[in-house]
Amino acid sequence: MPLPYPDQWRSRSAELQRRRLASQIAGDRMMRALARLQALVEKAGFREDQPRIPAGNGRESGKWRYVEGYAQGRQPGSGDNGGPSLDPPEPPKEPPKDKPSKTQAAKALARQMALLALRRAGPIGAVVTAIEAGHWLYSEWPSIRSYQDEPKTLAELQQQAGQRRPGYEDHHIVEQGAGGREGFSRSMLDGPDNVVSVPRYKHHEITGWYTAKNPNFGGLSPRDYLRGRDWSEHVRVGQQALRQVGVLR
Amino acid sequence: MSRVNLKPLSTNDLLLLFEKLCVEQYDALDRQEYAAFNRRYDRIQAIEDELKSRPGDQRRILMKLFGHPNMQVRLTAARANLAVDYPAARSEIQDIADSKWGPQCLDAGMTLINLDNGIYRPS
Repeated sequence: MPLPYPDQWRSRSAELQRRRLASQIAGDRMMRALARLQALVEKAGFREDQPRIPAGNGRESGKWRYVEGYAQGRQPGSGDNGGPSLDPPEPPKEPPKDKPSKTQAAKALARQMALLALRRAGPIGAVVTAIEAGHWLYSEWPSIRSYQDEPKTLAELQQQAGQRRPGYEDHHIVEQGAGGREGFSRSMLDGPDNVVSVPRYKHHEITGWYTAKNPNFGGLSPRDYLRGRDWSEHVRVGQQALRQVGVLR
Repeated sequence: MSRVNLKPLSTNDLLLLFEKLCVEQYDALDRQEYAAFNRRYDRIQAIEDELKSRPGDQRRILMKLFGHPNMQVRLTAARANLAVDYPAARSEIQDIADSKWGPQCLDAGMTLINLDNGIYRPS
C-alpha cells in the first residue's frame, strides 16, 4: 500500500532510489575495472619466458612461477618499449591555481586514459582514474573524453565542423595565418574542405607542433617551413599531421 | 637567458642537462608555452653539437635515454642518434609514433615521413 506522501515527495523518493541503484551499479563496475587494471599492472612485470608451472600439474599448469630475482631491476613502461608508466597519474586533489596547470593535469589524465585503452584496460578503468582525479577536473571532462575518440574520415571531421560541441574545436587544415602570408583567400581557408572538428587537446597538440622548432624541417617550425609554399603542400602537411596525431583515419 | 659554456662539462653532465631541458620542453608544450619550448630547442641543439664534436661522436651516450618515461626525452634522444645509429634510432622513433602518446606521436610520425621523403637528412 503506497504511503500517503504528496506527489512531489513520492517522485523525490523514486529519484533517490534510482540514484542509489545507479550508484551501486557504478560501484560494481568500478571494482571490476580496478581488478582488471590491477591484473594488467601485475602482469606487466613479467616476460613471456617467465618460468611457468609445467603441464601435468592440474589446475596450476601454465601459471607463472615465482623465481627469486627474476624481475629485479625491470622497469616496465607502456609495454616493453619503455615510455610512460602504466600507473595512473595522481593529479592534485585540489585545483591548481592557474589555468595552464589545470589543463596540463587534465591532458595528463586524457593521455593516460588513451594509453590504458590502448593496453586494453578498458574504458571503465579509465573512468575510475578520472573519478579519482577529483571533482575539479569535471569542467575539463568533455575535452578528456573527446581525446579518446577513434580516428575519423575526413568527411566525418568536415561534417562536424561549426557545431560548437563541448570538448571539440574547429581546426583549419591550412592554417588561418597562412592566408595573410601566402595570399590564400578567405573563402579557401574557411571553405568546408579546409575546416574540420577535432578534439580540443589534439588541436592544442597540432598547434604546438606547427609552432615548435623542429629538426625535421632544418630547425624551422613547420609553420616557417611552409612559408611561401603552395596550397597543396600546406594541405599535404596538414593532413599528415592530423593522421599522425590520431584524428584522421 | 645566459648561455652555459658547455666545453667544461663532462659528457655525463651534458646528458643530464639534455634530459632536464627535454622534460621542460614536454611541460612547455602541455602548457602551450611555445616560446619556452623554442628557447630550449636552441640549448639542446648546442648540447648535441658539443657531444658531436667530442672524440668518437659522443651523441651515442644519449641512447641511454631510449625508453625514458618522458616521451619528449625519448624522441629528442632518438633523433639526435639518427646519424649515429640509424636502425636503433629509427626503431625508437617508430615506437613513439606507435604509442599514440601525443603530441610526441605526431612529431615522431612526421619525422619518419620526412626521413622517407628526404626533407629530413640527419647529420
